[in-house]
Amino acid sequence: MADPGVPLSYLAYDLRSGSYLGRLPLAGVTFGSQLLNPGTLSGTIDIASAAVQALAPLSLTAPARTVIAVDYMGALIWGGIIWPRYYKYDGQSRQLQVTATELWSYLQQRDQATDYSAPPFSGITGPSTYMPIWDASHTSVPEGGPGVYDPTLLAWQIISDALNQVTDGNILGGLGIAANGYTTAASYIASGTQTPQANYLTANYPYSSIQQVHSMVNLLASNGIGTGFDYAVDIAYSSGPGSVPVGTVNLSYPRRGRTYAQNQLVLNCGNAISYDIPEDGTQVGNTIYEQGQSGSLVVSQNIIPLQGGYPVLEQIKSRANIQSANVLNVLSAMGVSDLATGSFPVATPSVTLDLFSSSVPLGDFIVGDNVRLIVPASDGLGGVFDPRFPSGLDREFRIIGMTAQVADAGQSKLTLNLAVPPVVVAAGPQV
Amino acid sequence: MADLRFDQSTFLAHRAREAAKIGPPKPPQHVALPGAKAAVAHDRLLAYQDAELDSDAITERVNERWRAENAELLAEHSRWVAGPYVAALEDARKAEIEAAAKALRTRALFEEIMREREQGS
Repeated sequence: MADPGVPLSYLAYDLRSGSYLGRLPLAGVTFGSQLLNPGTLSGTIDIASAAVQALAPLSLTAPARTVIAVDYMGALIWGGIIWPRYYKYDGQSRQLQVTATELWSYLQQRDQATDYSAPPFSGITGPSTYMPIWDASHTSVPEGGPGVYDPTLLAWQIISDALNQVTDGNILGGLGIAANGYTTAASYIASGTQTPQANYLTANYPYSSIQQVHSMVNLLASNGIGTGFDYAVDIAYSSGPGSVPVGTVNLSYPRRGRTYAQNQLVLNCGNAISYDIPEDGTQVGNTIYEQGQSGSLVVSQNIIPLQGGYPVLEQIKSRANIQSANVLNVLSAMGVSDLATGSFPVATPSVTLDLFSSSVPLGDFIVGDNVRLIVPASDGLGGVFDPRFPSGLDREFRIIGMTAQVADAGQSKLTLNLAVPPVVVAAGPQV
Repeated sequence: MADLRFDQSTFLAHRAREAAKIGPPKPPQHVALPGAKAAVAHDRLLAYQDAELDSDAITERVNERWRAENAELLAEHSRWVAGPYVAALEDARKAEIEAAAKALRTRALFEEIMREREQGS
């Protein structure tokens, strides 16, 4: 069992109702999150111990019907569903190994609730009522025609139908859905500048080629900055520690998380346990060919790397899944976003810190936030701190993944995976 | 006996009827915003939005309130981090270094004995 001083506890809730089941005596816990990809928690329970047996560990960890939430000092920082549970009986081991995947994984086991072959109508609304969320932008032009729509709203309608219009098809007593914090599509659209302006898409999803909710939303979300959005399911106590947990599907346009100017998070590599900085030139493209459907092609080029001495490096991106009345606008937006991330060799640093005493504390950041990454120039004794960065490094990066390793004894570690934050123009190498 | 020969259109028709019975989705009582340490009551969220606060600003307010409510716990945590936790880490590191040194000493001694034996024979 973990050190009693460690301010983390693991709580079990019923998946459907959200009712409290008990506290789990997990050991050797590792949990994490990734942007756009549900992260996992794994830990073990020693069921040979009589104290543990008294807690009914088997009913607290039943797969596909239990939520594990991680409480850090009275706030929930992670929530996931137990999918696999593993037990092996042999000469010594009586350990139950539990793996939970973040709440979004529920949508990996749900399919579209109805037919969306003729938007703005669906199998649920019938052929005369417009879908209220899908068409909240009132852009089914011509009236009742296929139209172009905000991709965030398409995702919202698909998720809402799957969760709210199917009996017994919701979790934690009912997940809420919010886009940029707005819980109604009308107020989200009314918020104006923080919604897509010209990059609306056309989409239809016939029931005959039924798809998983996660893959439909993931495809819409991974359309690059400006068109796509980020998503996650967040969990929190409804009113203070120990109360019923609340889950919300948060869709964030144009991105999830805050900039350094907003959160003031500084990641000082001078205090890190270790860090590594891989750089990859194989995916570099300063000239991008965006191929859309029916022969549409948009070429985008970033001339800054060419002026800086790089040769032309080309990438072809197939966007056959994109349908839109203004497909060229959408493709150019994607070209710009691909150039922003791929014009220079891609650097994806990861930094390992102490879990409980780092400058980026657990619970004070979310995956998607930017941080200011600093490598000091000098070691304070007149020497260079790190010969890889002779004059130091001070640059804004984005947290795209985190892993917390809670040691049963000794040092617990937090690893942050970083990437270049979404920007409009790439002006130089990333590190 | 119920007809089990469900095809796609009958399934969709069932689901549409079911959906009509369920009615439009109800607004949640509480909303968990990204990064917020406590959920926001829905009516308070709406009031904040009417005051033209965006999602980040609301989260910041929620977290400020959480920090005020949990000030004691936070102080206790920082004491733990600065004191017993760091001490435990240092002890663990010291033990690790000592174990490594002991292993090195043992190996050196062993090598010395082996050398002496080779020279002696």
